[in-house]
Amino acid sequence: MAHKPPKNDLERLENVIEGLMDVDDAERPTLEDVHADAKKHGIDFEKWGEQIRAKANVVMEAERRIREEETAKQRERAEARLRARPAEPIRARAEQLAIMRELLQQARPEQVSAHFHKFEQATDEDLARMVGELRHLIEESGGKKS
Amino acid sequence: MRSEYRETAAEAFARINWRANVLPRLLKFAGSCLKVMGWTETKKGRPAVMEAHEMVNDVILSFLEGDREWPAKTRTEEEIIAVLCMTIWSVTTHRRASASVVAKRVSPALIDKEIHRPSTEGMAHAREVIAQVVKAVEDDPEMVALLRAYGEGFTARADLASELKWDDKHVKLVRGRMSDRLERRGITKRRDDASED
Repeated sequence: MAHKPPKNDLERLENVIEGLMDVDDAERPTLEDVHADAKKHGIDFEKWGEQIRAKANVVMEAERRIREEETAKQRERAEARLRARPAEPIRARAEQLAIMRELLQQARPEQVSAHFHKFEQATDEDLARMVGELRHLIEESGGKKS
Repeated sequence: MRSEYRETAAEAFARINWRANVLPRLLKFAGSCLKVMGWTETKKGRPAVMEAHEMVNDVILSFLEGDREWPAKTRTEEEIIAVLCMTIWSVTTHRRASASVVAKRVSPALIDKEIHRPSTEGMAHAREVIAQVVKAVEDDPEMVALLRAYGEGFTARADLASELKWDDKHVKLVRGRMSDRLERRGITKRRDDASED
């Protein structure tokens, strides 16, 4: 049997375990022997690998569904908390714009880039709603950005 | 800050290239573990392939079904194999109650020759197992030398004789002495006793 210098600790352990097999050298199986034994016993490595991959895919699909359900639940809970917030009063436009600018400074860019970027064109009612939503977002994400 | 994504066992198993020598290698490793632990179904020297097949399958399924936790930071194919091999080792050793006699303290005797690779859970476990085996023989320099030679990939008697500069008879003698010691410590079990289990 050829000398097999280990490339890592696993290979070193594989060598140790192989050495510890209390058998004659001729009885110590090589990978070729494993292939031959497997074939003799009807083990098809390609099929076996496909079966494992198929099971892994089924589990991945189940994990994906669980993650999606969890995300949906989290979103629903967050929306419920938003609906439960007292509505923001409709203040003077200049004051509302100033509050919006201040809140936008506190929020993380990824939270606000799409939804709030045209706030200056919004009606007073929409602006009050945006202030409420933005306050909610900042509170939900644990307060001000660091 | 966004937390680092943790790959699941299913994701790892879906991407690994099982076609390469991964399954034969796992099968060989499981067969060797079963042999060393005296868990073969035949009295012949070669490990029983069907039992090894079942062992590998059970270990893979145990991760897929969530019975075992897939370790984080298991990225490369070699690390995935390491986790699976070390689980196979754990399963075979736990099948023998007496295996718990193995000392826990890690001895550096065999592992002082550092191989610089990232230490992942599977690799670290492999290292620890080697250290546990060494611990059982550390008071006998010849046994330690023999184990070191095993680790470095010399397993055939002629290669060991040449590497250790011993004659063939002496290799056999130290091997026999080490087998007795490891068996007494509950680390291995001889083929002759396998049928009793």
